[in-house]
Amino acid sequence: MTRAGLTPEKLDALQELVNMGMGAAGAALAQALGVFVELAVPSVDFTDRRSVAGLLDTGAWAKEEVEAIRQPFFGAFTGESMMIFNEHVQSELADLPGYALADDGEPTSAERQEMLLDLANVVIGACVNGIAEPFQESVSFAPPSRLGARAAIRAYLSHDAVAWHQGLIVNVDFKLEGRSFLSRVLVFLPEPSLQRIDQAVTRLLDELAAS
Amino acid sequence: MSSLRAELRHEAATPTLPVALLALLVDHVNVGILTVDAGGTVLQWNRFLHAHTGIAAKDVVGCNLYERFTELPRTWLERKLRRVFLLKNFAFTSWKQRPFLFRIENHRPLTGGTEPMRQDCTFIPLIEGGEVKAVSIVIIDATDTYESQARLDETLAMLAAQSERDALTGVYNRRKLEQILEAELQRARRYKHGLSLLMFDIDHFKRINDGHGHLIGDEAIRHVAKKAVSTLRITDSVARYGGEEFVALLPGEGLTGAAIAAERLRQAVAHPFTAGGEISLAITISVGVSSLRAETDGVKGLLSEADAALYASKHGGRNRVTLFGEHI
Repeated sequence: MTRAGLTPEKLDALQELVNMGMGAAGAALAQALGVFVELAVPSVDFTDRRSVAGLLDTGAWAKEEVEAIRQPFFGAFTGESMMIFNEHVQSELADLPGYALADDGEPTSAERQEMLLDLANVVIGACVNGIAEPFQESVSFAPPSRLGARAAIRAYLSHDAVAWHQGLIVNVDFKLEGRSFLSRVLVFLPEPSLQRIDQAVTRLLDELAAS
Repeated sequence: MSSLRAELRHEAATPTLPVALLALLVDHVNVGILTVDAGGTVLQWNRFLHAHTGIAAKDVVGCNLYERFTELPRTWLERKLRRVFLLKNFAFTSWKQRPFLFRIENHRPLTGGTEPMRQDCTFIPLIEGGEVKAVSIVIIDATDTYESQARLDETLAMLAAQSERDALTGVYNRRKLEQILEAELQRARRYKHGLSLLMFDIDHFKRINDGHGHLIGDEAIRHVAKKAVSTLRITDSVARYGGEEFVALLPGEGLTGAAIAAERLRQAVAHPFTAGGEISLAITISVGVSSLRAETDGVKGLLSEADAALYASKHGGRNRVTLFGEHI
């Protein structure tokens, strides 16, 4: 299994950088959403994309119906991100300060869908920018789209017709203050992106050593 | 022109697009581009937007976006833009949830429709020195996607309807009946409602086919389906179960009520009708009725009890209704 030059030492450094980036992301999110955002320490693993489906079957997620939004990104790093929610999210979004509707009515299903897509876009954007920023790189995003529920997510993840199976997966669990829904962001960086990450990590480590 | 040429020559070492040409591109590109600053002042309004809204850049640029376009969903849009400035991140809207940002009337006078232009929007933060100086809203015409999605949805709905209907009679087919039966059985058990089932077929159907031909046979089948739909309640489900055999499901109905419905149906079918536009035909049906009890063995049990009752009707001389549990 190739790791595109990422030694355990570099992987550790990357983990540190991602931690820092996520801290900043959490602060920005809290400001944008109007509620405190609690982030678990992100995990960074070199793994197979097909293993992501297994993450839906562990811990609190195993018993829940889920909803997933995906969003590709490109530029300095190219990859794809996925945000997963459990079904409580639908009932807990409407009164989020950053999203509350102008008239106090029940949101329509299109409004709910739009809020969910926008929330995913905001959180994914913060995470991916959190990963890119320490390297002073910038990324652009394609529109987020709904993947559907568990069966649909499994079907997408088990496709074999993709260029890359191996890559880095950054996994961050989120909690919003006063909300009980589960949410998780997965950022997948396939092998070609890892060469750039490796270069960036090497450069940073060199700068640290020189200073 | 000469200064442009000079600029092009000057850039020859590292070719880049001169700013003047870049501005032309932004103006002419086939998407709407609108740029606003953090205070909501419009900085840019390209030709696409001019052409489609009829409002020229000079009448928009410099104005406050929300004051210039009071029909915009201000609270929502302000929040969306604020997040882009704050998070330095892209944002999106899709026609699927929000049909359009700016209402643009249908621009296809030839091939048409009356629906306004569907729009996908991308909000791009323009970052300089780590700060978002302005946000560009790129508006993409998604009317084609919308139209093909609408056609696809229509086709899928039609296919779904066809896949659950019998082509000859228009009543449900056997597969759909089995789905309904399963759902109704669970519902009846959960809410302790009655649930009854009629199974009926045309008496001496082979004689009709042999004597009058298959086309008349088909008409006899259609006649029975029509009578079943018209005599039973709207909440009852009628399905063609086999060649000349039908099943009707009566939710909320006990054995006594189902027996009355079955008798009404038997009599309605027995009235002579005109087949093939000329011959008067009188046909009869035999009916078996079963009703859900605590010990009924699910869908299978309900069907086989009705079948047993139907068999008893046939052997009792046809053109009659038999209730399961009465004599069998």
